Amino acid sequence: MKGNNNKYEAEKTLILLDSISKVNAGPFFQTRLDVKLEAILNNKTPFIWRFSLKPALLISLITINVIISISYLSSVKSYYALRENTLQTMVKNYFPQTSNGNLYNLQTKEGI
Amino acid sequence: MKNLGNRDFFRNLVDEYKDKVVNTCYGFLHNFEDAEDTAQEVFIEIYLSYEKFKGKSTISTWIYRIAVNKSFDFLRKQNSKKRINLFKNILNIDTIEQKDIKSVEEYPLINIEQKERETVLFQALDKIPVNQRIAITLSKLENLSIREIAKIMDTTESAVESLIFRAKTSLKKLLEKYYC
Repeated sequence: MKGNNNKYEAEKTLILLDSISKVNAGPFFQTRLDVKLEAILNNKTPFIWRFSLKPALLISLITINVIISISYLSSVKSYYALRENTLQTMVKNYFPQTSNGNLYNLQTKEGI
Repeated sequence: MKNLGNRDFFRNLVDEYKDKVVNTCYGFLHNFEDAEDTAQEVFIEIYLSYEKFKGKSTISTWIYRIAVNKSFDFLRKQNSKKRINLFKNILNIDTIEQKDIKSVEEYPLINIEQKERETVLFQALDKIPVNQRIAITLSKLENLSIREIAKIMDTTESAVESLIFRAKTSLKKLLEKYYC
């Protein structure tokens, strides 16, 4: 009995498929559409900016810049380290000892 | 990108199809404001990409196809925001629960019981497979012929008939479970 009732209710609801009320566009549909379309047509950002602002590209550019900066700073640091070593070697070779018996630090201009 | 330069032609197109597009979107989205917004997106797409319409199908077939795609794009965006509800739906995939019933839409001249039944029906439509849902929505809500639906869905007429039959069977099962 209950099963028949379920089926009856289900059928009654399913029948509504044949008679569902249609909806129509509101009275201001065209006006709103015109406004949206004008906004899109007038808001044409240059392709290069639209493209460059895409998140994936932006993140890639930032990452690349960070990597280049780090490698540049590393190379600068190693350049100065190499220069220091070279100067120290030259000093050792040509000036084995300073007048007070200590090696001379060219950068700080003090005896080590 | 080339687009419809003739605004009068575009306006006439909008006048002719706006009700059909809004109604089609409503059949999938069950919310009038969302349906209107999506319908506007459909016409913007039509305006901007008219050159892509190569005349292989009728213009109405092309418009309906865009309307269906835009409606499902909207639903996908909506679903991605509701991850908790998505898990709930996965667990209750074959049932319509009383708490799922949303507030009924405003319909003129329709009684409360019918409005509630339509809400239950829409909830059931949300649960059936996508292709079945598209076929039965276009058939029953838009009264399109099997032939027209086949062109929109890019399939055969027999496939559409099969989808509609299976959709009715799926709906019946869901509704019987709901009413028990």
